[in-house]
Amino acid sequence: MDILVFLILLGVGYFIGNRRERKHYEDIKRREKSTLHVPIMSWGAKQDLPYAHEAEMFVGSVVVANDYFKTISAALRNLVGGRVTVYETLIDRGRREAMLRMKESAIEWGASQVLNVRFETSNISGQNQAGSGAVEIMAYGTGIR
Amino acid sequence: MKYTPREIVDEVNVTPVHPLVNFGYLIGTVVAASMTIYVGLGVAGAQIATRIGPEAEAKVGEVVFNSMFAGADLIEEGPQFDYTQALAESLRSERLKQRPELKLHILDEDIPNAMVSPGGHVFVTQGLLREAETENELAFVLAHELGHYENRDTLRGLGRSLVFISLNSVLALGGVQLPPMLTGSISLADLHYSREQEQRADIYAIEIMYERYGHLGHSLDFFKRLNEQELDLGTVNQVLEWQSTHPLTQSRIEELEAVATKRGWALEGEATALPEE
Repeated sequence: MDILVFLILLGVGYFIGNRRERKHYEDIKRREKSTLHVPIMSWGAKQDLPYAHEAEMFVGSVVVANDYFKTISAALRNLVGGRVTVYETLIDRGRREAMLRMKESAIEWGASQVLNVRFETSNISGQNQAGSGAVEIMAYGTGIR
Repeated sequence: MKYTPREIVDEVNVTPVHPLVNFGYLIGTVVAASMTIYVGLGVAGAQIATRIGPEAEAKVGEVVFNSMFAGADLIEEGPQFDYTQALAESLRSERLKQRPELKLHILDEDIPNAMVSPGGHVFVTQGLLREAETENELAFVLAHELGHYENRDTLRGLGRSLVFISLNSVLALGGVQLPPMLTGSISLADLHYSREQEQRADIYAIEIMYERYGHLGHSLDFFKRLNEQELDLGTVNQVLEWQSTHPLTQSRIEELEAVATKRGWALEGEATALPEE
């Protein structure tokens, strides 16, 4: 009985999680393409910003949760060590989504470029052993126009 | 510097591995490792069981005894105890005398039964002592248990736990204690033997009976009486016999009588009486 519940959860985690991930990546790639014309730079801290009429800070943040399949895969990976490939895609999606949200709000405002871009990451849940984890990724930068 | 927008095409941050392939690899590794450890422990347990010396065996026996009978009601005195203890000791073979000494315990239990645990702890129930009508009967049951003891079935029965129990007694000298989870809790239910082990112990017992009394008369009476009490299961019997590790009484008696006849041992003879209580 327990093994059945486990397999159902694993199946739900894999099929739904995988489908969502695929869709998300398609969405990310499409939006990245359409926002490509605005340059993003990490340059800007303790340096003079290029001349601009206006500057404003933009923040994009996203919370991504892992699915059961990823949790189990990562737990197994914990036994043998090595790259946690299932989490790589999760974090990658999170960073790109956060960046896109920031960039899109900057474009809406009319930014010509976004400077001094930084990332912040924090655990939202998953501190306890049983709970599934979620991660918040925040990107912020200064938009100028 | 002029900015030329370029699409990012290579995914440096994502390892191109299919999640299912990754999962399969992980499960495979973990299962293979567990299997190796499981089989390895089994082999190690069997090796320890055949090689363990008397002192270590006594220690293991102590651990098992303490874990099985912590706080149980055991009778360890009185004329009945002395008689049974003396009888059991007189049945020991030369090889058994090299092993840890026999320690008899009488269980306050009505069901006739006897067992032996590692380290020479022999248990008989009050039911058995009450039901036994001649010394031959009681001696046969005791000799059967001694057979398990001499053949080291008691140690083999512990299986993988034996590795941890013996490791524990070695480590205990250095003051290290393994978590109790590893040694497991040992109960009476763990003291079961395979059909082959039972048969060997049976033959061992009739050999001792022959040596002691010169015949097998009355030795098997106890089982014959038990057999009459059992329900006639008819055809179900054969199925049951396959499932059970304990050979059913009827085929057990027949087999033993066949062995005895082949060796030319008398099946009839004078009974030796039990002492008056």
